[in-house]
Amino acid sequence: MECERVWGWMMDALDGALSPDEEEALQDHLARCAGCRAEWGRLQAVEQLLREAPMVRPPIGFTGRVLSRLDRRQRIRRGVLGGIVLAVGTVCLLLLAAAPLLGTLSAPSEAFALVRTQGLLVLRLADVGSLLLRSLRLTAGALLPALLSLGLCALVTTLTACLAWFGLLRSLRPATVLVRR
Amino acid sequence: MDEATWIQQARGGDVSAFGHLVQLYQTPVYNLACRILGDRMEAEDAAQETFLRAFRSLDRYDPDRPFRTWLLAIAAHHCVDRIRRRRPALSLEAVSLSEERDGPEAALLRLEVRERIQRLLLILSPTDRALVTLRYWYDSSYEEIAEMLGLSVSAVKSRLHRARRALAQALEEAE
Repeated sequence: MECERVWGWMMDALDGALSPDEEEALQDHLARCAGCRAEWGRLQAVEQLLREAPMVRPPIGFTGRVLSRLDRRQRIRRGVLGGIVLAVGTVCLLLLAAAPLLGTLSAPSEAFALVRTQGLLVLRLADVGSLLLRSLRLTAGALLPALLSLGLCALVTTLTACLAWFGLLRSLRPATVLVRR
Repeated sequence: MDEATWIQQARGGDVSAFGHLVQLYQTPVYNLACRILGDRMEAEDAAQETFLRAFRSLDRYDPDRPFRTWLLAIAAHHCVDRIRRRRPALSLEAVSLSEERDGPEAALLRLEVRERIQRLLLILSPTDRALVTLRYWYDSSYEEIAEMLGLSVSAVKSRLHRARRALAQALEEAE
């Protein structure tokens, strides 16, 4: 029981937090108890070893290696962001190129044709609307090949740029590994 | 220029200002990584990673707290996580050999002390290694260690006491 209390004193002594009374009681106990005396000797040996151990310094050029790794990581991040922007651009162009194919104009045209049977005023309006939409469809149909070829050209250009971009990123990656080693 | 200015500039993305901070804290961070990981190559990688993480998280740093404490906390957590993710391949012998290779004859004695303490530390759990290192190499208080490792002050105290006893036991067995 007393040895357990003395154990607490030993810890406080190592932390420099022992009162003079406790210090005296500890010394009294150590003079009488061989087990605690041996334990105290071992603790002090460890304490000395820990306090004498030096700081391990990093190899020369550490700061340079950190900064070059930081620089590479920032370039890769910028590269990935650029890639995302290019990919989004590609999708937009793809949608633009495919828009005339979607037949978005035919559905309202049919709706107007249905309304035509409902009355005179509506009939006139529907006639005008239907005519307008038909002409729009014809215009879109005429422009379709040109729009398609334009969209495809843009798509090919964007994909080439994407591939070149990711190729550049891949060429950066082995260099990062070299720096890490 | 002082540390606060470098931190301020690094927060704005100034890499060269951050370089001054790396220069200033490279030894404390590297030493902590070495003591926890027990391997110089891995410690270099972990110390570099610590600085990269710090750069990325500078926005979250509270300027009212010491930068060193904040940085060492990042290093300690990263090293402890590394050991937890590590495959059980690195033996005590491997650590010892990796230390011996790079020391010239004249430094052998110093190396022996360092290796002895390193071998002792490796009997502790990663968190206890971090705790003992912060206490003895950095003179951190119980409160600072608790904050850095995310433990309560009483847990730090009882873990340190247990670690001291375990180290004393191991030292006796080694001799």
